[in-house]
This record gives sequence, C-alpha cells and structure tokens, in this order.
Amino acid sequence: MDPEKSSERKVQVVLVEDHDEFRASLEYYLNASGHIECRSYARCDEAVEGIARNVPDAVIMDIHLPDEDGIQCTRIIKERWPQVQVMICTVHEDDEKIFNALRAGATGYLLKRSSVEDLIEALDQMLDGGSPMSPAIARRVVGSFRPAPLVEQGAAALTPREQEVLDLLATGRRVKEIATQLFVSPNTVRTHIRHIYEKLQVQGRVEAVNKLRR
Amino acid sequence: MCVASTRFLPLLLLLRCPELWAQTPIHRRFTTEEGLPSNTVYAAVQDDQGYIWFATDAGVSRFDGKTFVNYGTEDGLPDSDIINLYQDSKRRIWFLGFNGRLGFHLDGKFHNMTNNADLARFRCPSGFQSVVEDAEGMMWFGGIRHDVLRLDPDGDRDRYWEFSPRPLSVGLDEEGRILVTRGRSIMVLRNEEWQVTDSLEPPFQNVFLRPSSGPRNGMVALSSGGIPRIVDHRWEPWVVTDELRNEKHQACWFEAPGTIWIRRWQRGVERWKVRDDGEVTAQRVLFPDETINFVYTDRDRNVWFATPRSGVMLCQPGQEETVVHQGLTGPVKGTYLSLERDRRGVIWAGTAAGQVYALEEGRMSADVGWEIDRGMGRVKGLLEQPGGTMLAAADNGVFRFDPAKRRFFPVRSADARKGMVAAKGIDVDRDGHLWVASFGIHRSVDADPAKGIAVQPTAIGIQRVHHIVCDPTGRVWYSTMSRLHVLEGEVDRHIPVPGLSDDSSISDLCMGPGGTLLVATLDKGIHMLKDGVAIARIHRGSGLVSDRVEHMRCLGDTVLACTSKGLQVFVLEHGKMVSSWSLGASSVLATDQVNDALLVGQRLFAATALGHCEAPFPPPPAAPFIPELHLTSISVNGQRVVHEGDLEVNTGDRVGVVVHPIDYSSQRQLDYQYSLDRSGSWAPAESGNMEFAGMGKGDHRLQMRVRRPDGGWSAPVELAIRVIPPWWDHVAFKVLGLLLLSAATGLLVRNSITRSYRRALDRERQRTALNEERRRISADVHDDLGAELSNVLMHVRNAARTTSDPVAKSSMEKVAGGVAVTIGRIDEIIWSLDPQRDNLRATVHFIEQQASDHLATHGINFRTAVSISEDELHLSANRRRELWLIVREALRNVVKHAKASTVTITWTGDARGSTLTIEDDGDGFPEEPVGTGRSGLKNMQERARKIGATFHAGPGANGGTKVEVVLPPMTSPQRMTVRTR
Repeated sequence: MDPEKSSERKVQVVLVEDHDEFRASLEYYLNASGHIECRSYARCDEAVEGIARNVPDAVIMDIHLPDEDGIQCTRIIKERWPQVQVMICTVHEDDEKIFNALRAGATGYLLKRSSVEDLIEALDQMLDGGSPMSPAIARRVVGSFRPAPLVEQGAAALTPREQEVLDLLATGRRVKEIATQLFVSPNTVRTHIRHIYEKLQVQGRVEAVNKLRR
Repeated sequence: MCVASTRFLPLLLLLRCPELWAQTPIHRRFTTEEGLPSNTVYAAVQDDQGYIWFATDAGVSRFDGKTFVNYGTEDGLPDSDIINLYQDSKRRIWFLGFNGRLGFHLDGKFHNMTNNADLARFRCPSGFQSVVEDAEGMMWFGGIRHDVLRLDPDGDRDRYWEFSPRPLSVGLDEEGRILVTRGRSIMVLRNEEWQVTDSLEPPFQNVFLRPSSGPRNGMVALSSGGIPRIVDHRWEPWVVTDELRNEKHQACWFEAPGTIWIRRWQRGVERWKVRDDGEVTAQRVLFPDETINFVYTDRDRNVWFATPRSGVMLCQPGQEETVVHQGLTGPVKGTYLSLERDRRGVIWAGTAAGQVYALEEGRMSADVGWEIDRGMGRVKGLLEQPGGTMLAAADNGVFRFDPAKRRFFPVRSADARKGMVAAKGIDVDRDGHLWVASFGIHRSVDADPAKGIAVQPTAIGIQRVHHIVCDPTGRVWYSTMSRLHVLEGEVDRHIPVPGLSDDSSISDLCMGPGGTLLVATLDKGIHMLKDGVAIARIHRGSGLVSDRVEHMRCLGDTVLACTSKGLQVFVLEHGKMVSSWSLGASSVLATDQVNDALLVGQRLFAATALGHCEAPFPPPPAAPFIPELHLTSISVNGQRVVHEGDLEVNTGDRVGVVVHPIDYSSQRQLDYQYSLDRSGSWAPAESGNMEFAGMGKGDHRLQMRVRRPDGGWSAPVELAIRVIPPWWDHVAFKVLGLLLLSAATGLLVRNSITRSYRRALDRERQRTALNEERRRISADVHDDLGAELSNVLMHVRNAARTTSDPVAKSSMEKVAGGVAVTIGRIDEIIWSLDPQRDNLRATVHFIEQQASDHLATHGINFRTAVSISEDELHLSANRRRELWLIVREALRNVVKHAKASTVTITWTGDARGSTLTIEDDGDGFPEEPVGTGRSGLKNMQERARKIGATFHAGPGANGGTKVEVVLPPMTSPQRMTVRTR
C-alpha cells in the first residue's frame, strides 16, 4: 500500500452488498487498507441515500441485491452522480450481467474470490482510469459497436487505437501482452479500455434513445 | 207344362204335377279357398262399376271375377256380420249389420256410426233386413221383426217407426214409392201416416211367408194358395197353385221378366218362369243338394247363389239351364267320349273308363258297359244299327248291347274268336253291315253283328285305321293318320286332299250335306270333298273358332265341331258357314274340352271332360265383353294397403298390383301389358297380378292395360308410386351427416391439437419449473455459498498474510488455495445449473474464462478466435458440461505433456454444425499415448459420443497437438405459444 496515499484524502468507497458477513469483512479490510474509507449498504435505496449525503469516489456493487439488482442500481447512481466510478463485484463472471452493468455505467468488474489486495488494486486502477476486460466482454463490446448505422456517428465511435485494443482483447490477450504488442504501457491500454467503457455507456444510452424514438 | 196357369181359378189347384227334376247346373263355386272371407254368405249385389259385393258373417267382399277384396270392421264396416247389401242411386253401397247398425261405402271410404252422425243415431234392436231406395232418394230399412227406418242421407227427414211384432218387409210400388208388407197387410205412407190398403184373403192366407222386394217392379209373396203380387197397393192372386202348400218354401225373389226364385225349406232352389198372366212356363229345381240363402242375378244375367255353408255359386248366362247328368254309378264329372241317340230318344253316353250310360227321361241309367275281363276300355264311338242294336267301338273291341240282359257284350271275331282290339270307329253301310276301323278294316260277315266280323282286305293292310264312314252310294271312306282312302267294292283308292301332308293328322270323318265328305284335321280345319274332290275348306279364316278339330258330327247340314276352343255348331250351305254358335266354358258348358255332341231339338248333349252335359240350344247370347281395367288391390310387401293419392313406399319394398277387367267368365285368357315411368315401351305381363320390386327412389308412374277382343288395348290404369329413400339416404341427412362428421373430425383434431398443446405445455411447465429450480439452486449457491466462501477466503488470506508463523502461513495458504478451488468448482456448478447459460455464447465465455485462468496459472498464453454466431444457439446443460469436460481434459493434457507456450481455442461453423478446436504449440501428439493420456483420449471420445459430437485428436498444423470436436447442429431456443382455454 502506498503510504503517500494514506496521508492524502482517503478514497471514499461505498460498498453495496447484501451478504452481511462478506460486506462486513470487505468493509473492514478496505478500511484497514488505510487509504480507503468505506461505508457499506445492504440495499440499493439505502446506498443511494448514503451517496446523496456524501458522494463517494467509487462504488463496489454486488449484482444481486434484495430491492433492485446491481445493474439497475448502477444506472441510478451513474445518472445522478456520473463522476462516481462503479465496480461490479460478483461471485461468478457472468458476461451477460457484466456487459449489461458496463452499459449501465460500470467501469470495472471483479470477482469476489479475488484477494483484498487484488480488489484494492483494481479499485485503484479504476480510479486511475483503467478497467479490466475479458475476451468475451471484448467481443460483446465489438458486437455492440458493429451496427454503426443505428448509432449516431460521432456520438460513440471508437478510435482506431481503441478498436485495435478491443480486437486484441477479443483474442484472449491480456493487458500486458497488448501493451507489449502495441508498445505502450499497460495503463494506457487500461485507459483505452476505460474509454471504451464510457463510450459503451453512451452507446447504451443512444441505443435506449433510439428505441424510444422508434 | 205341369203348372196350372190360370188366374182366380182355385179349382185348378187340385191338379197334380209330377215332381220337379232336381238338377245341379254347371256352375263355379267360390269359397274361402278362392278368397271369400267366409263360406257363410247372406246376400250379393252388383255395384255400378260391375263388381259383385258379397255380405258374409265375416265382413263383405268385393269380387271382380278373379280376386276377392275383403273388408271388415277394421276397414269401417258397422258389423262383421252383414246380412244385406244395397247400392243406391248415389252409388252408396249400404251394409246392414246383424247388430242393427248401418253403414255405407262411397268412393273408397266406409261410413259408419263412428264417423257419420245419421248412422250413429239409428240402430234397430232386432237388426235390419230389407232395404230399398224410393223415388225421392230416401233410404228405407225394414227390421227383421217390426220396425221401419226412413233415412234421408241428404236431408233431415229421417224417421223411425216401430210396430207390433209381425214379419215386415219394405218394397216399392209401381211408381217407386215406399210400400211395406206387414203380416198379410200392405201399408203405404200417406201424410206421414201408415195406412193399410189391403190384406190377403183366402185361399192365400193359410201359409204366408215374408214377401221379398224386386228391383222396383213390384212385390210378390209366397202363400199356401200360390204367389200373389201387389198391384196398385192391393194383393193380386198371380200364380195360383197348391204346390206351395207343404210349407217347404221359405222365400222368393222376383226378377223381371217373369222369373221367380223360390228357396226350398232344406235343399235346393226352384226357378219358376211365369208369364204375366200367371202361367208357369218352366219350373226347375237347382242345386238339390245345397241350401240356398239368396239368389241374385246381375246385369250380365250371371246368377249368384249364396249359401250358408258352401260359399257362392255362379251360373253364367244359360248355365243354370245346363244339367250335368250323373250316372247312377261312377263319378259325376268323369270324362265322356261318345254319344248316340237311339230311335226311342234314349241318349247313350260312353266314358273313358269303359262305362256306358243311357239317359232316358232325364235320368241316367246304371252302367251297362261290359265289365268282365278287361272291360271295354275307352268307349270312342256309339252307333245304332238300322235294326236297333246299339254298338260300341272301344279300346278292347266292338261291343253290342243286349236289351234283354241290359248290358253290352263283345262282338266276336269271325276269324280268331276273339274280340278285336282298339276299335277306333264304326259305321254301318247301306246294307246294314258293320264296318270297324281298327288295325286294318273289319267288316261284319252279316247284317247281324253277332255273327262275327272279319278283316276286310285293303291296300293298307293292317295299318292303323282311325276313322271310317260309309256313304249312301256304298263307298267306304277311311283314314289313317294322314291319308284318306276310299273303298269301292274291292277297289281301294288313296284320295289326296290338298294341303294334307304326311305330317298332318286327320281327326274325324263324316258325311256332310249333299253327299259331301267332311274331313276334320288337327291343324287345317275341315276339308269338304265331293266325290273325292276337295271343294271347300272351313277354317279359322272362314269362321271356325280353331283349326284344331278333334271330333266332328254331321247332322244334315248342321255340323258339330269339337275344337280346342270348345264346341262350335254351324250350318253349311254350299260349302260356307252361314250360322254359328260357340259353346264352352264361357257359356253353357262346363268346359271347352268337348269330345262328342248331339243336338236334339233345342237341347244340346255334350260328352265333355267334366261330364255329360245337357244344355239349351241355341245358347243365350253372351254379354259383349269390353275389358275395362280396374285396380283391384294394391299390396306392399304382401300386405294389402288402402291409399289415397300417390302410393308411398320405401326403397326395397315390393309393390303388388292386381288389375283385372271385371269378368266373370271362367276361362277367358287375357293379355296384359305394363309400362313403368312412361318409358314409352310396354312390357308384357303374365297376368293382371303384377309385382314390382327394386324401384329406385323418387316418383314413378305405373300404367297397365289389357287387350280388347278387337285386338286393340284398353285405356291404361295408372298408379303413381313414390319411393321414399331410407332415412340415411335423404339429402338433409347426408348434409347433416357430413356436418356431424366434419364437426366430429374437427373436434377430434381440436382435441388432438389441444392434447398435444397441453402435453407440450406440461412439458414446458415442467421444463420451466425445472429451470426455475435450477436457477434457484444456482442463485442460492451463488448468493450464499459463493459469498460465504469468498468471505472465508478473504479472511484466510488475510490471516496467512499477517501471520508470522511459517507453518501456520503455509497451512492457511493451502486452505486459501482449497477454498479458491472450491469456489472454482462452485463456479462450474453454478454455470452448469443456471438455465440462462444454456447457450453457445455462455459456453464459449465460460470455457474462455476457465481456460484463460487455468493457463495463466501455468504461464501459458491463451488465444481465442470465435468465428461463429454465439447468440441464440441452444446448448443443453448436459452438452455444454460434457463439452467443457472435454476442453478441461485437453487443457490438462497440454499443461502436463505438451510443454506449450500458447494454447489457441477456436470456434468455427454455424448452427448447422460447429467445430471447437484446441491447438497448442507444444511437442506434438504422441504416436502412442501412454498412461492417463490414453484413458484421457478415451474419456474425451466417450463424452463427445454422448453429446452426438465427433472427436478427433492429432498433430496440429504448427507441430503441436490439435483436438477437434465437431458438434452436431444446434437449434435456436424453442419459443412456444400455447393457447389454451
């Protein structure tokens, strides 16, 4: 853990998790990290109220919640507080749900079985502008951007570099491999991914608008 | 004549008459066997169409000459016992029931007390017996004992009178007004009051029987003094006789002109012919062995005799004059073959049974034939010799009658002392010699045949000679089967007859008028020869009733020809027929089969197949026969039906139709034809009794007609028949059936579809429930177990990280590794359980993720290439699990054996078939996999087989190993829409 960060303003994290034990444990370890100040909620509505009182930097969102599911809750939070980064934390890497969460505004995802260190690192990377992406998610993203005529050109078009990154992700390459192949740093790759996510979010909204117009 | 015929001369009553001859005339009898409802017949009447109606104790019967149509109470008669009948001027046929009820029949309908108010009002307690219609159209009914009913069928002048009990009868006076005899009195109705106009005085009063009404021509009565009649409402002693004094006469029926039938007490009926002045001109007793209830003479002069136990007897015109003589021995109706009248007037008759009877003074003698040895055989000819000896030609020879012994004796043969055989004919020449036709010709040696007969040499030798006749010039004519010869002295000549061939048959010879010879044949009529030269032929074209003449007798210029159609008597003048009479079954004879005949004054004697008949000659002229067909009865399937309008029958019914002209002659043969449906063609029918079956459904029109004597056809009788198809053959039923069938089929199809949908729905529900259950388990595992283990993992890792004890740290890291593996396994379980992952995309993603993680832990790069549409392709949980296990086995092999740096998983293909390839860049595929490698390959192959895929493992293109799984076609997830009600 970076000692410098602990002296700075702590990262404000809201944990939305319905499993009491896991929530308490994760909140404890995040807070124990020193540079993270975590508060947790078991329900979406409680979380939204808490965020409204004190807007965090990031939200760790479980997909399964008792009132709203995590995807819908992500959408609510991103609509009200677009600056808040949302990371999906799930037991199983369900590409369908993760992809929907990304379209709802999430910019990262992580498995619950990951270690606390990995979680904190991923959180940091996300806040630094990076995001993870699996080949399957990459292919869904590629597919999402493919029907260009339906999308208002310019609104969410990928740059060639982003497209290149996305294509490499879709072949199973890891971030580091892509960075090596493209002669850039892993963070740059992650930034590209982050941009792709953001555009995906826009893409999701455009698609929603188009549906409403039909 | 035996009956005194003066009026008002009582003294003449003392004259005694010989007893009347009692004779059974030629008649036909009708009983229940012929169709009468009962043999007890009370009365008869002929209606305006010509039918004869009979009243019996079992209803009434209508007769047309062939068929009896019977009616009973079920048809509308007032009673089953009908004791009298009458047809009025309005064509109503009245029925007088024994129960005192009245009824009538008009235009096919019966009226009685149940459907006619007038008939219901009146009932005679003792029963009505006499009936008459007066000139005003009033119906009068006389009760058996003492009541009179006036019925006004068309008005309201009905009235009923009841008198003190005395025999009573209703009748009409000369002007058609009602007249009632009651006891000895005559009563007439004046101003609705009955007045006695006369009462019978002695000598007519001692015995007085009930008078009977005639057909509007006055009334007669029987009394002990004779037969008085009513003239101008007064008794007039008409026939004065004491013959009726013995009380054996019960009733009489008066017929114009001048015939009175008198019923005898027990047997027989007397017929008196009475002139207007009362003189009885003829008197006979008929049916001496029968009791007669009623005598009725119809318009064609047929006389009907109703009997109480023997049905009805019919005498056609003149037949009641004909007597069938009965021999004292032998059958009444035996076949008589030959006749001869001797100089004393005795009629000799020979029979087919070898008997000979002598008819003398109206009585037949006992048999005088030769009965010894073989008897006489058929007596084919009888002849009186000039000396007075009666001779007979018979099968067993010639016989001579011995007056002293009153018996025939054989004439011996002069040659062989034996009687000849088979004498076919005999004649006597001018010298008194007897000539016999036999085998050859025989001649008596003397005028006295008792001295024997001898063979006469002829040209034909001992050929069969059938007929022989001697002419006044001494020539003897004889014939064989087909040849005519004449013997003049010693000269025998064959006489050719034009038209006669060897195939012809000569049936008789006789000497005709003017010394001519008549030759009868069986096919050419009668040839007439003069001195051996044919001068004429009498045949059908010249007036003969038939060309088949079987016997012939010549009496001067009168010829009696026995033909196949009866006896024809005609007079010849110059070879031509000038007068002719036909006698047979349809006239005064019992049958057409006449074998010999004699004419004696105005009496005709005929030897017939039904006895020896004596008939009047000339016979009364036959009523002209103009056939007019009547529809006598209609039956359906053997059951008589009464119908109005069209006859309606069902398909397959047999329709019986009886049509006859009304014809009471016994054996008239008629030709019938019918036509169905106006086809234009007439088909012959065997008789007027026709049956039709198999008529198709729809309307039919049946026409029938009969041939007239002039060769034309009668007006057809029509019957409209409507054949109703069976219920299942109606159009409406067919339509209904079709609709029902369609509805049933529709219902079945609908039910089938519904059942199919329900089954599919049930399966879908089960599948949904199963998927829901899978999803629930998956969610539970994910939410609870996954979160719990993740929590444990987090704490264990933290503990391992923070502890300083290396042993504890190692243990904790192992625990953490085990929990991580467990979470991985749970991942697999969640993945395999979750129904939402039952598709190719989730499978690809899962395999990629697992492969990527697994390879990453072993420092092996992972590549993936998916060139297949992942979306919407269904892959069942079992198949994707087996597919994952194949991949996992392959990846383990790579990690264990390949020493590869990169593993590439590619997906190619489409829904019709896709291929999963796992290829590494390692050492390559071993030629002989050992150890687990072999079993691993077998496992992979077995798993591929389970999911219908093909498996192949071998060297890759870049030197590594390549595992290929070709999946069968995948389907899009079924979307089912089930509509249930």
